[in-house]
Amino acid sequence: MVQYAKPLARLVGEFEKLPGIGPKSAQRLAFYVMRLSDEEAKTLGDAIAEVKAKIGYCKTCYNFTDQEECEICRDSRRSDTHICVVADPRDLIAIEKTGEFRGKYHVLGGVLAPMEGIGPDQLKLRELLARLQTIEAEEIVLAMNPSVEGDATAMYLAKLLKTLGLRVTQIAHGIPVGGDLDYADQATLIQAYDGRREM
Amino acid sequence: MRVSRLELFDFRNYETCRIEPGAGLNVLVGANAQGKTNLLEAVGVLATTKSVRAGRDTEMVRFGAEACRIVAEVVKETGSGDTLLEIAIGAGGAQSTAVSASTARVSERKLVKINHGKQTRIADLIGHLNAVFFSSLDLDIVRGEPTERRRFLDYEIAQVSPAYLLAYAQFKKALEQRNRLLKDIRFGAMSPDALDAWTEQIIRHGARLMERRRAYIAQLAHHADTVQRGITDGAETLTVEYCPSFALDTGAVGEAEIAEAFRVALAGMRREELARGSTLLGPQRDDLQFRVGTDAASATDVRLYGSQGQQRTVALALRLAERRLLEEMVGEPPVVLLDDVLSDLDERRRKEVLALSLTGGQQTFLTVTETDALPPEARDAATIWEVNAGVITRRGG
Repeated sequence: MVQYAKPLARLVGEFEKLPGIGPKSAQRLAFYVMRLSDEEAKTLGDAIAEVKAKIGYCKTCYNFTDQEECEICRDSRRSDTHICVVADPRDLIAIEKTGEFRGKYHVLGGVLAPMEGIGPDQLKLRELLARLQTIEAEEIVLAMNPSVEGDATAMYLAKLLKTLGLRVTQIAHGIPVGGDLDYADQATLIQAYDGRREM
Repeated sequence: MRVSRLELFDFRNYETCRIEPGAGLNVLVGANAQGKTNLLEAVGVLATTKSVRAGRDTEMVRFGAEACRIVAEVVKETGSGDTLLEIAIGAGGAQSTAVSASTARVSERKLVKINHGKQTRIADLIGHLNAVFFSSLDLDIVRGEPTERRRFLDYEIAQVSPAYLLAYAQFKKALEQRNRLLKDIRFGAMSPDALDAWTEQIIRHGARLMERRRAYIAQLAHHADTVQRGITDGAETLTVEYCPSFALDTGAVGEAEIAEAFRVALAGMRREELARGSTLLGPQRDDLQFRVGTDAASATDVRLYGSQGQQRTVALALRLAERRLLEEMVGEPPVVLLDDVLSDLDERRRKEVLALSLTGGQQTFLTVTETDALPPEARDAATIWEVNAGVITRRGG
């Protein structure tokens, strides 16, 4: 069997470790890299090295940042007293794109999942509680995924925060706007029905 | 409703198979281990998304293949009309990395398409096809472990309620997480802080399962008793009773009331659960009881005190009741799957089952090793399929 030269095989192997990349895609990416000019290849390599060297966690909200404190936390036009709690930096970006939320965030770095060894101590919870000691929070918005783990995390947080006398809200889960009821999948419809409200 | 076309790809021992079943009785004839039951199983999967017998979905993928596919055209009198259903199991996609391919592991993924539409969630398959699966293993429902009876319930309720299927999946996940947490707390590896949050998750999804089970059993019990009286010429009554793992008031019928009872019961069990490192109450411990007697008052548990003949009758009565209930709920008869059931039945019950197959305008699939086992009137009316090592051919066609 013909095999790749070792350095190429190694690159294919590294690409294959990436999420969503199978053997075929890994091969295609490796061959693409082979065709790059030296300079382009170096730019790609440097970008990977730089992201590891320079990106860390914001000391306040635990979002990714290349500063000590992220841009959102430093933005004085945003409300300090409304905090949206998310599981992951990607969720923060999703909510940020709406442009609706003008408060600040707190990134937990995951959700409760005993099977993966994640309990409250593995999340940035103590950090959230410490942060809430320093501000007069008006509202904590919980924005977790509508999964069993997301729900358990939201429930745990809500109970904890309410004992501190805080106002806690949770984003609604259900039918996408502009979508037809007719086309919504049943799981989504059931959840939307469960979350129906009085009019 | 009926299946007007069925196609299998890499399903069990079928590489490819395409048949256009008759509207009435379809007899699948062949020696053992040729694939008769597999065909019935495929129809069952379309009705419930689950196999009636596989422990893991991947067992349904033909050995050496990466994924299997079942396609069926369903003709209905009521509701959505004709539908093209498609389910793929093990469709690797991004997960089929070099590692998994070399160890020949098939992914557990299930993909569903309806009427050539885009891929959709598995629960969306529910409601397009209903089927009742009579099997020679049905005796286990009456005689076997509680898990057999829960499987019977889940399989039935799931095909009329996507909400049940969803709650079932979520309950299972929450229960796994909670059990792991209890174990970790017991060994001091995790703090008990988050236990309440997980308890609430199993209560929320568990209460929904229990409410649906209870309501379903109440309806089934009525039909089961009628059928039992019919088969025994009025000599025996059958009482089917729901036996949850904690006491439920007869008044506690709503999901909220069941949730509250569950919460109270779990609170009382907390110390014990922490000591044992496992969830001790909930729908994962539900059971059913079947009592048979000359009247409801003197009836006794047929699992413990019934003869084998009585147990077989109860198993048959349950399936017949299920068929009636499905027809009542859906508005037309479901597809009936009879897997090797005739040989276990005495003459009278065999007639009962065959009469059912030939009347009511329903579609039936029946497996036999010899067509001689059938009475002439059944043989004449049937479409006969010969099954031989994963190949199906129509006799006389």
